[in-house]
Amino acid sequence: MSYSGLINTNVNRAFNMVKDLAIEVSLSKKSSASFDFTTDVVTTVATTVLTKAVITDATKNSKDNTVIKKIAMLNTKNIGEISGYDVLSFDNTTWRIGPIINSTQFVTIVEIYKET
Amino acid sequence: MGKYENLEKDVFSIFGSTSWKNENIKTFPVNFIELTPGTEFVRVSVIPSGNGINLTSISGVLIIDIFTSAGNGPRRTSLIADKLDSYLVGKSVSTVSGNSTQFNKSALAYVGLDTVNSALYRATYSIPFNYFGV
Repeated sequence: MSYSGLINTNVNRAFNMVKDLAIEVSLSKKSSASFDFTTDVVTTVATTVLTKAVITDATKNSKDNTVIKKIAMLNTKNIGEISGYDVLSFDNTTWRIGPIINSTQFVTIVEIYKET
Repeated sequence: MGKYENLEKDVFSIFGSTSWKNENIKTFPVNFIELTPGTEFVRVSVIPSGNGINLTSISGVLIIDIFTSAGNGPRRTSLIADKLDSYLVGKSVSTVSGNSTQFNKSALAYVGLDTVNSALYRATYSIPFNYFGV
């Protein structure tokens, strides 16, 4: 087995070994987006990826404490490239994808946001 | 509709026209995330920040960031700016009866490598406008 395959296997194993610290999430990924200047409408095409994520560090972000920021760690191989259009859903709540803190070919760590 | 929406419609009608689409220059507005922008595109910002001659009029600047492939010299930027000139300089647009947006003279500033993607070279095309409402 290649080193990258070996690491991917162990990343998957790690997400399973942390048990309920890794929760099931649904990532809605926009595969294309277009803007029509005539109608002022944005059209997107989305695909949904089910994967596991470790969610940490809940902080309230704005001066009036109306924005909650969390950090999500996901398996890069499962989710592929992500963009600012994508949304992450878990516990019946939808979170906007924020800045990517770090992304390797194995693990992606990203900020996620929602209004209270 | 208010003056800001009418102004936006006037400006966007230029970039939604068949003739501009046939120029094959990818064009996006601000606050739109293009997933595959490529190495050549323009980004349109309408900045209605000036005074108008009455309460329903306003002036401002249309800013168009021109992104081209880095390292290939300024010619492509100049060609795109000239194309923009042919659609904008001295032109008047009206999408709502009685209102109109008039463009004046343009300017082009070479900014340098894009701060987000250094594979792109950015220049800023700007042209003042006056929107007249009734």
